[in-house]
Amino acid sequence: MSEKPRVGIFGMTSCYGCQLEIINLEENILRLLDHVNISYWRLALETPSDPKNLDIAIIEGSASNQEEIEELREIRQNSKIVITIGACAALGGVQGMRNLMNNERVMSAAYSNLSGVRATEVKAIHEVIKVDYAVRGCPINKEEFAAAILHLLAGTQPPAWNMPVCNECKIKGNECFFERKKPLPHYQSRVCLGPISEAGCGARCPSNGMPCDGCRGWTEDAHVKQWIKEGLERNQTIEDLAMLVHRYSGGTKDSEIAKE
Amino acid sequence: MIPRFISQEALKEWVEHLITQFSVYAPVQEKGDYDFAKIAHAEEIAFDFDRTRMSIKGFFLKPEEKLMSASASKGDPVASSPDTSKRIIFGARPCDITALNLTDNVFVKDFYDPYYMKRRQSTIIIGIRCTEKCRTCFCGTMDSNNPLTGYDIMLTEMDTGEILIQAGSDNGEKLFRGSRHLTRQSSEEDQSLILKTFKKITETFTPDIPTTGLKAIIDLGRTEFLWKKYEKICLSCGQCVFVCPTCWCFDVKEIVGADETDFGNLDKTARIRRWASCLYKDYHTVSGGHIFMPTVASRLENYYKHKLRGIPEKFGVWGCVGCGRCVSTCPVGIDIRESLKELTGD
Ligand code: SF4
Ligand code: SF4
Ligand code: SF4
Ligand code: SF4
Repeated sequence: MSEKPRVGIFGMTSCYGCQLEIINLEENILRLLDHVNISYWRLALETPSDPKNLDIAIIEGSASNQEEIEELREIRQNSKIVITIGACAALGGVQGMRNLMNNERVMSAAYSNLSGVRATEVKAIHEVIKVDYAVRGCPINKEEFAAAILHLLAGTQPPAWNMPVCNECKIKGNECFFERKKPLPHYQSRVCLGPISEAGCGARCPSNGMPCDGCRGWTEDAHVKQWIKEGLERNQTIEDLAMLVHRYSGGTKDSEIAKE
Repeated sequence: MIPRFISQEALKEWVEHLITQFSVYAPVQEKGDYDFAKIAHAEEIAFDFDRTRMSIKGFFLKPEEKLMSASASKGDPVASSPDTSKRIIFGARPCDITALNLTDNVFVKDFYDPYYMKRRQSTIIIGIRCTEKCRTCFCGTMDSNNPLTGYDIMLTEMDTGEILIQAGSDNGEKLFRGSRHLTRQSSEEDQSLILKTFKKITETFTPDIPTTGLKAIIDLGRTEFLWKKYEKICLSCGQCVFVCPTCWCFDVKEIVGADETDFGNLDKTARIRRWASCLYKDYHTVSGGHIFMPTVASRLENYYKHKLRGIPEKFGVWGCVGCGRCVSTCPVGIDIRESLKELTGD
């Protein structure tokens, strides 16, 4: 490689937390910079400069208005590889719940004056443009992100374990939040989304005393209906369960369960 | 060694002594359950434990480990060397020891796995015999409550509270050599006490779930109804596999450049091994996208048949040791004890 690959990092509708996670790589980010040239990054560069002729575009956030949809199309045209980071980009994110609710009520709860609001239906990035690879999570696991970039630079497929969070949770030796017979403290929900959520985060939440919230989205082989059935047996309401399984994924087409 | 007795107090003193020479892992109470942890004092041991949440398999087949590293350009493979400093697992239950004996067949006899083997060789196992059933026990049925080998020392609590020490290996004997003053010889009068305690243990662990005819039933294919029933509830979460002491499947991946000490060096690759589960679709997916066991029903069938039909045929023992960990952990309540009863029409 004569010249370092050119990378652009873009933020759509999101909290910018995933971009912060990249910065949180600390000294390792310098090692990444040995291999790439960041030519556009509004969050971290004094002069974000040039979003054109990119080898890799990294996109955070969901598409939530027309300007973003147009920007995304431009990014796609200007980039060889498009990677999304975070739950918003992969699934629509928390704001995607808006799609599942009464949009008008959500809007008027948020804004007193609706005249300047440009919001459109929330969309995951792959619903707008072709995405080559997604690093999931809310926020992303920075080690996983770094590994994905390094693999792409080495010309190999980024590693994917394709397993539910329970795999990593058991590897960590955590207490399980989903055992049937175990009494849980009153403040904890009696369900954990780990069995149907994609691993890769290192079972971050159960390792820190909370059930999995499903921020990485479902596994390829998620048994969502069975999971809901089990939740109902534990006296959870169907509304609560539907919200849980779609907390992050309202921006994708497979959000039927909540509607059902 | 002729079995000797030790009092509960002296046992703790002995453990303190062991801690000065070895890393000692023992059951402690943690996060609402019992688990093995490295201890600094005998007091930390939860002597009232029934069984630990996870089995001892993770001491030998690590949940996740780096097998080797290599250079992308030069090759130059370097195998990782597992920590082989001597350690003691104190308080292994008989079912876990039976499971370890079975696992040896796979990792030592058929194919030699140096990572497993080195850890196995550097570990001294001190068992504590169960005198009561644990919360999910059916080890009597699976014939695993009285392993004849696989331990260095076995401790059995007598009715009087005193503990009988039996050595299972030369290493076990050596462990006691310097501490004989803590123990006492068993006398003629003790014989009836010993017999009484063992008789009670035998009664407690009398098989209570039918297994006769299981082979014929499985071979006749009269099992489909059960997998169909479970398919409606199983989440394919794989937990039953990770907690099972006789599940030993793993997955291996190459990782580029993510070495902690030399991050970003694209020339460096690491080979990582990690526990996997046959309940996952991904586990049965091969290049080209073909999936050998696409349905949960077929995967559960595989799980059960492996333990109840395949392993018995190959190794002459049950592939389930009856610890019931899978029962506790299964979020939807699939219970292998009930499965056995349903399969045998009980
Ligand atoms: S992810 Fe949730 S259900 Fe799975 S093992 Fe962890 S706590 Fe239990
Ligand atoms: S445990 Fe679940 S909610 Fe937590 S980071 Fe991982 S996938 Fe997200
Ligand atoms: S199948 Fe269940 S009961 Fe049998 S050894 Fe494994 S975890 Fe224990
Ligand atoms: S623990 Fe239960 S739900 Fe999970 S894979 Fe095993 S049988 Fe299925």
